[in-house]
Amino acid sequence: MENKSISAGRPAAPALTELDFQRIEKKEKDLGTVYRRSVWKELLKEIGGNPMAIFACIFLLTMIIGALIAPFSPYDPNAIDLPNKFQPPSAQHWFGTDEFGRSYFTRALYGGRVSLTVGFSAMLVTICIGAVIGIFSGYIGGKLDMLLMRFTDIFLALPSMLLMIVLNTMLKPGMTTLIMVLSLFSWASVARVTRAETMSLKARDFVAASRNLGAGSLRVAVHHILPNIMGPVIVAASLGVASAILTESSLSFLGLGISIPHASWGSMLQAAQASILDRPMMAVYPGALVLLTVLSFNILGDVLRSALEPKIVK
Amino acid sequence: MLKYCLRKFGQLAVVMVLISFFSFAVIYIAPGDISSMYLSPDMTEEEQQAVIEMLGLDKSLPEQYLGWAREAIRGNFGNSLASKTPVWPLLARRLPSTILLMGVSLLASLALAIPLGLIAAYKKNTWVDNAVSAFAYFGMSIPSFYFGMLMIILFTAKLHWLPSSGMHSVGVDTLPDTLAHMFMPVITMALSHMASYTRYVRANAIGQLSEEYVLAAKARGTLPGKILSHHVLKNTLLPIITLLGMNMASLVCGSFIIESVFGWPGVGSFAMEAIGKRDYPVIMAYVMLSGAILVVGNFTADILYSFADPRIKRGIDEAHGK
Amino acid sequence: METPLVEVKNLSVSYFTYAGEVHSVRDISFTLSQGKTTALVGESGCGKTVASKSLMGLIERPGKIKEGSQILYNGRNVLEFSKREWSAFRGKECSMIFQDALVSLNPTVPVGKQIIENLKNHNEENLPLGQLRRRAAEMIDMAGIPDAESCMAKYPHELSGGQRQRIMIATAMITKPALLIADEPTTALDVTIQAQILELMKDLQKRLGMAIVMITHDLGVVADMADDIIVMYAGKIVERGSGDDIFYDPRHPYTWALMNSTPRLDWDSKKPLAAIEGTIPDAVHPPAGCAFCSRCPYAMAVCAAHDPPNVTVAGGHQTACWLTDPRADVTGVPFQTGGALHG
Repeated sequence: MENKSISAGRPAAPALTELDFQRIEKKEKDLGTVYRRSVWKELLKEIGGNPMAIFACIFLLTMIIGALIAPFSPYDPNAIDLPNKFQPPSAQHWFGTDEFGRSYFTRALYGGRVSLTVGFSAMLVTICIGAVIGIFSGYIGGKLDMLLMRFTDIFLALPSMLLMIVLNTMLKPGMTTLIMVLSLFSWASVARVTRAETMSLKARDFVAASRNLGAGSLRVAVHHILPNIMGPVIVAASLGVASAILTESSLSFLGLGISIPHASWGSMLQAAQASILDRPMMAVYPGALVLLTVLSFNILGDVLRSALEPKIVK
Repeated sequence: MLKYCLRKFGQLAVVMVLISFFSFAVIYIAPGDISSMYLSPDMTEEEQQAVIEMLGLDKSLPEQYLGWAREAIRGNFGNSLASKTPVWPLLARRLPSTILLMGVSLLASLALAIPLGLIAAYKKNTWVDNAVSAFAYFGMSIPSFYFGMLMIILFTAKLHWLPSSGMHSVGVDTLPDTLAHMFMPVITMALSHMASYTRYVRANAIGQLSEEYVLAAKARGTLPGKILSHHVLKNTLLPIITLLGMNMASLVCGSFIIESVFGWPGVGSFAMEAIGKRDYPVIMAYVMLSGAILVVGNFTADILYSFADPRIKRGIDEAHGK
Repeated sequence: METPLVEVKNLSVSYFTYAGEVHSVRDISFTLSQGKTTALVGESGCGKTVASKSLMGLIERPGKIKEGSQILYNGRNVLEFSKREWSAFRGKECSMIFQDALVSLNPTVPVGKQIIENLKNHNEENLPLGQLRRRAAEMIDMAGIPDAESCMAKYPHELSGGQRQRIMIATAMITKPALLIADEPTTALDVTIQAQILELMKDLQKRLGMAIVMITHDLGVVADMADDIIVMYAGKIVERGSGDDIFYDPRHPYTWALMNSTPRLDWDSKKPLAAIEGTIPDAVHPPAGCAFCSRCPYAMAVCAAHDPPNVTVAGGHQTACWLTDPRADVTGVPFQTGGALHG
């Protein structure tokens, strides 16, 4: 190190020659540190650095594969086999059998099929309705915005669970009904988020610049607004699946969703409630699956959020 | 300020009308003729007609709605189809136990969520924060009825410590007995709210802690504990008031499921029965009651917020000329 | 020579960010004298705010004061303070005024309370609240706000920008600290208010006798206030000296450029302003040699390769530039470089 202290006289400089004191004309341009942030890389890093996120991904993959290969199970989820009822867990029946002698593990797999299908479909419908209303409202603004937002406010203020129950009671039960009802009462919050995001994007300079260059409304919406609201929408989607699965299980538990004999985690819990004091494990299995699935989607949502939001500090 | 309250009140009335119309329409257009539940094949044509007229089912949707609304404004929600007695007293009798359950769990969730969220924010990215976050994830992800069932398995089936259902033991009406009955429903109901409040308080407090006034307070030699309690707490809690108002919905709906799981004799379990019996005057009355709790909650939150935050109150006063 | 109030030795501060380690302050040393005003001058991002925050221990994650740094306050190294000692030091010995009073005052707490907070934190004599209130009112009065009592009940947003900054000053000075750090105290204000605030600070300094560190990029403020000037560039001190030294006898090309890029009333209006070309170097990978090399019109081969040594040119006037070396090619350099050699 050179002498940095406040010294009198010349410091002990490195051995320099006259040549070192020649003027230089060509100087290195300082370009600053350039670093790229790839969303995918960022996401992988975020997941890799978080044991909870690794767990969530592995668990969800297992659940999805399990749901896909459920038909390959040697047991019929709905075939009644009374002599074999209430068997303890064994090599054949990993979760044992239920009150009708059905393989509880196979039923749990089929239940996962239903819960995941409902969760994903409801999320898709929710996002589609919510994003379209949100973008329109935020982008066009004015009277339309006010009208749509009042409408959204009312949907947010409705006691949704209650009305879902009422609707499900009155409509023909089944998966389609469930998906429609779930979406009907959850699009409002997605619309709010996309509207806010669209409004803030609309005010940004790059959108103004694009418009000044002659881009039409549609072009601006498709090329500038849409790609930039994908982040919050993806996060909302992940959290949306979680809440749809949670609500589906509550409705099925109340006997208003997927009805017996078909399995969903909620309806399995409903059946288990009757014998909860004698056979608690019947309730523990499907409940744990709901809990872990919803937990995984929630964790994934947060991981996505932090991976997608721009930040400087590690 | 008065003008602001009045305007808010007007908005509130509109929302109530819309909720009622929406629910009424859902019940009306729903397939499955309501009257079929109250007609039997051995009735004569005239008797059947009389029942239909009594139920008002021969009229169009707007007419039926107006008829219902006219009575509802006077506090008359009609007769229960199942018990043939007026709906309102039936609900009113059960309301206190629901309010008790909701109020206690709301207080419990806030009492735990605020300190937890603040500590997690202050100790951001440490094991304390991670533990609080893990707990919040758990509370957010577990279906409340499932958590209730787990509690019953643990405290009733295994440990025999707590009763699994009802509000009182038969023939007993003491405080400890009620508290024992209340414990599990309150915890179950508080858990999910606590989780979301904790996350909210944490996120909010982290935002506040990065504000420059915190740095300025630190530069005055203010100790961390005082920064949290004197500066950050108030600014963190202000938005919580709004969140509380918005969460009234899930509180009301939560009571619905939890009352069913624990057999709590409140309006929720009563409404659940009514849904099973398609007792639609009761359902309508319950929807209106929940809607009212919700909307009044929102309203109160807005007013409280504007009083609590000096910036907003001044803004309102200026806009409306005091 | 009297002992300095503050002696900063080899201070280095880094911020650990996504892009890598940002070397905000790189091995700087300086002293602050009792009762004097020292100006820290430089472009934004040169490390002047970070350096001053280090004095108060306000560097927070992801920032870190590096090993080997020392800040001696009356002979004690503040970097080794315990939490208690810090809290007794901050506000009492050393206070800070921030750039924007609107965000530095808690929006939901009346300003009177925020002023009293500082007194309460350092209330060794356990004075009753009434007395603290009276002292706060006196201080507000001293800060030039009429009707102190009613002002104390107001919220920050109910005051004007100038009044808010006066409140900030009152908050900082009520404990009569020995050192006041003012981080661009007038940047957010109108020009007319700026002058009033500077007058107020000078007046209070005269009455209370504290040392002031004035962080600014406004040379007008510097000329008005400063006894000593420290010029920073890319995390390093490039030149320091008295006000006259820096204004009338700059020895570093950066200082020279800085002085000539500011319009002055006593100049011929036809004379073009000297703009400094290029941008400040990247603090993640600071250049090996002189940081100003890439923008310096007189750069030599040595500048790019080696850090220039600190050279005392006269009295307390120091600069870090290879041009001061007797072997340097000084043809066409418009200011005096080395010490007596070129004198």
